[in-house]
Amino acid sequence: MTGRKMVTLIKNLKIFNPGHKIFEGSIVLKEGKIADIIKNKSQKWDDSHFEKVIDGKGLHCFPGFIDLHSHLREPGFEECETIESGSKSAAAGGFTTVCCMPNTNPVNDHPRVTHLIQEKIQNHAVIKVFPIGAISEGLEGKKLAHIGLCIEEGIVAISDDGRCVTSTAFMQKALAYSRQFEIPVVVHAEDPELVYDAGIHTGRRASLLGLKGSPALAEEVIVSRDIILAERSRAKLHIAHVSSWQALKHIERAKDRGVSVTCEVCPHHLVLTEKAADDFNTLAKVAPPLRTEKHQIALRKALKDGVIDAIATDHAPWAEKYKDLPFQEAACGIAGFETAFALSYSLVLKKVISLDQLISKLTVEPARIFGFKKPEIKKAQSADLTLVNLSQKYQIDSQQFLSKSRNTPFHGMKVQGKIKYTFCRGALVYGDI
Amino acid sequence: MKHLLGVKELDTATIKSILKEAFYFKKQVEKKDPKLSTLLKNDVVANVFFEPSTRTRVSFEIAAKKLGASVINVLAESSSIVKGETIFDTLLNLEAMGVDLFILRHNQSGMPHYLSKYLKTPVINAGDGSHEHPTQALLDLMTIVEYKKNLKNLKVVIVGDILHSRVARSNIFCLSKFVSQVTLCSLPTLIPKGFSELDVSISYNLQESVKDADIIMVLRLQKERHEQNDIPSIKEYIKYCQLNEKLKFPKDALIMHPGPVNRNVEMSDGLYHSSQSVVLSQVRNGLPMRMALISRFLNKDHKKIKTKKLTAYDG
Ligand SMILES: [Zn+2]
Repeated sequence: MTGRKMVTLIKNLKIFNPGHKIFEGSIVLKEGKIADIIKNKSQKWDDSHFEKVIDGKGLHCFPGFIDLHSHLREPGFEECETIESGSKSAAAGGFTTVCCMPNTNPVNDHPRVTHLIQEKIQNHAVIKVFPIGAISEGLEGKKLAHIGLCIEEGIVAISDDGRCVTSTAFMQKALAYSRQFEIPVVVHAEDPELVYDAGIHTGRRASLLGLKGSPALAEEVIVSRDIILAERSRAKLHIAHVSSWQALKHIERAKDRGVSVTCEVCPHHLVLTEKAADDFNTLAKVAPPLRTEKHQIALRKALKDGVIDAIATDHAPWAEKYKDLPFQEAACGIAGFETAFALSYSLVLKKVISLDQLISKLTVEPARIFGFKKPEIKKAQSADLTLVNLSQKYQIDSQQFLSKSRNTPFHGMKVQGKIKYTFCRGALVYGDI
Repeated sequence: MKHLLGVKELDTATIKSILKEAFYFKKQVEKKDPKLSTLLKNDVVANVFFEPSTRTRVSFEIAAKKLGASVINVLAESSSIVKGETIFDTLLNLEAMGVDLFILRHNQSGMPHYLSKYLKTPVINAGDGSHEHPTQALLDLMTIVEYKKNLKNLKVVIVGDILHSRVARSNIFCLSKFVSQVTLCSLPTLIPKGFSELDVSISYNLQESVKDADIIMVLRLQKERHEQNDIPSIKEYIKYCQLNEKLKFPKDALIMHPGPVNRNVEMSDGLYHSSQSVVLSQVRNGLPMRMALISRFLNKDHKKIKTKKLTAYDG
């Protein structure tokens, strides 16, 4: 690993900041910051001035990716993932900042838990990790968590993710209270009363498998309810992993009339449909579920049109014992860090979205939603960089994951666009030199 | 065929040959062929039932015994507490003790699919959740073939709780390969989501759908259904879904039911005992059908079974 004091030169890069033109150049890293950016044509230099020189020929350099939605499982489920393994997995996926959901054991609903997580992050995370606190104690949707005190300890948003807040009255209070801090409220929109079998889309395919599934309606009902509540309270509402065209309609209309609502989409919802869960494939069991092509087309269009603000992984690692079970007993979720970029990049190759849009939705857009500093490849900025070979084709191999878990329906899929190096605060956190 | 998990995976040719073999066994049983009881004399069949069902289990047991196999019954009928992992251990142990064939029933859809992935021993699905009940659909088809000479033009109506019925699903998979029209008739809350996209008709009017039916397949109603608000009461279910004498339907229409019948709920007692009811033929055919299927997995000389041509769908 490159030390922080070392002066590193990465040369021959195609440097790209969203919203700007790609240019060829070199980047000098020093003390965790970008010390200099040198356009290729402008000057010659002597490599021997640098302790370390990396040839980035053929690589694009983007601001480090930011993931608003992940599950790092620590504390409580360390056999699935830890903050250390999760952060390494994220780095392998090109992420330099990730936010981790509070559905750990204990739940991150108390400043003591946040403090403990922060200690683990300090000692073990290889990238920037920000905890998200719970909305309610124990994620039970009944009593407000210690939101303010958790913010003092560094949570960046609140969410009961994995669970949905069922009570309208409780949600109304939570949104109102969030305004004290102007903190985003992240919603897993799936009315539990309408979810009969989690992780599979209600419709012909599930019905033929003898499963009632989780309907798009379960998402739509909560999204529309929470938009109404957010509109009244003027809280910052962020809809996690939107998955249905109906929910998108509500979000689009709300944005048009100025409601403070944002949303994210997961790569798996953009790439797969419910077909993946046929034959009771638990690797494709995810909540909200993979839906039909109609929903997928709408998600892609909304990503292009800007109704969807960001791409988030919902990285949900599970040890084999949670997934290798009969369908109804298996856990929901996909380990997503290490496949997120290539899957999303497939939409650029298919000309659904531009490279600029893709990188925005992995960097500046998520930063805007959570109020982080704008990620930029710029002198004096924190050296958070993702170096990608956009033409490299390869096959996804879950055995090579740095995550402790291998639960992915994408094993064996042929993709294009490989993360080669990830730098966080100037340190090489992924890639071999 | 490594396992029999569902009708969905079976092609038309396989179904036809299974049917021919079932008719062969039916004949041999009637003839009291002494060779039958020697066919599987060294084999052990395990009935593993995690849901109460005397009839299906006994039918499999008699079928296996008629072929000379030994049968053990593993019954854990408080099924809600039996999870996949524990069942898996049970089956691995039974496999290690030398069981040659598993007959599996469970209240979770997909349970046999999960378990069979890791078993070397073949599995016959005797019903999984609301998913499939392949042996029932095959014996239903066998019964239809016995009574109706030309399957191609038949109109079949399936009446009742389609939403929770594995019998309905297996029959939809099976019948849509052979008959001209399958109609599902029920109340709106008891039709599965998305079934309107299938190659079946959906009706909410029992009289309309049975008036020109050739086969009326009545499903069993789980009496707890009103507790989940799928219906307000059994009384209302009876009003809209019961097959009874007040309805007009062809005199030669067959009335079928997978059993056990809730008397005077899904079907009137009068029709149950009428000459149009073939419910007992279905039970009777369960035996040779299950013999044919068990034999497929265990009898090494199975391929030598001589079967005659059937006319119902060949003609
Ligand atoms: Zn979620």
